[in-house]
Amino acid sequence: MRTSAKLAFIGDPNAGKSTCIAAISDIPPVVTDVGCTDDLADVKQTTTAALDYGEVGLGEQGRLLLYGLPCQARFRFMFDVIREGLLGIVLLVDASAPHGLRGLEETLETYVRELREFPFVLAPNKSPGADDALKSRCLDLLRGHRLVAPICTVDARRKADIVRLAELIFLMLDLGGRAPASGDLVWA
Amino acid sequence: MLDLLNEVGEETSAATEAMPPVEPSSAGERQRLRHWPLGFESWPAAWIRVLAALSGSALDARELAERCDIAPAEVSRCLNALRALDALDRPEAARPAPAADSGWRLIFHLVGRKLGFRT
Repeated sequence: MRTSAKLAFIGDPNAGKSTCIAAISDIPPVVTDVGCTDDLADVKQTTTAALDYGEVGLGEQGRLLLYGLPCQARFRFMFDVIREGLLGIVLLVDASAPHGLRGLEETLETYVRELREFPFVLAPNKSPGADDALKSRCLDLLRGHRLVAPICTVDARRKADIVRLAELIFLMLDLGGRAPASGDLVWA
Repeated sequence: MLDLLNEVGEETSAATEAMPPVEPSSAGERQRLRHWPLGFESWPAAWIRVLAALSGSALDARELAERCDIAPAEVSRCLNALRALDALDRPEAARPAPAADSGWRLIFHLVGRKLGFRT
């Protein structure tokens, strides 16, 4: 039997979802970027319009599937598409965004229920410096929503950084009594 | 590199030795994490296991030592550090979550080996 467990990467536009997946995926990531046609065009040329996808092979036993999801409320339905077999969430933040942490606020508003249900790590990416102040503001936002999660600044291009995020999620699952039962994993 | 490791070891040792032993009145009480300390990434690996355990379960010191497979004295040091940061809650009527099953353990092992988990 083979199992397909999943990790989700959720974040505001330009937060680094596709880059994270590319950092650890065994296959070339499937990206769904399209050209920006709204105000976002001032920030970046393309943005994720659907699910990004990558995977980590686990030999005969299965795969760890990696999904990137946009943070906007209008894409919220995508979460239900990947919910079965989901282990945890990496919540990415574009720390260099001109609008500060507004993207994180939007993501927390959209996904607060899911973030209480699944273990997650908050990962500010592209931090311009002053990490302590940035993490402190992120912590205030988490506590405002009564959410508990580790906050780790990352460079989404670095495999070691993304592995560390995955490791924290797996530790929370394993030691925090939140590991899925075998029957809740997707077996094929 | 050796100097750096020695330096980190000395810092951690000094920080943990300066902390008082766990209070007897709170040793048997189940607690859970209110928030992850912002500087947790420089904490010892054993303490990060305690943080991970307390992020999803309310556990007392003995349960933590068993679940995390670390010495009770180390658990006490970590709990004291968390208390100093006001990072613990004492939830009412808390029950520890069940241990992970073998199917999950296999996934953890496979992913950890493939990606190279350290903790």
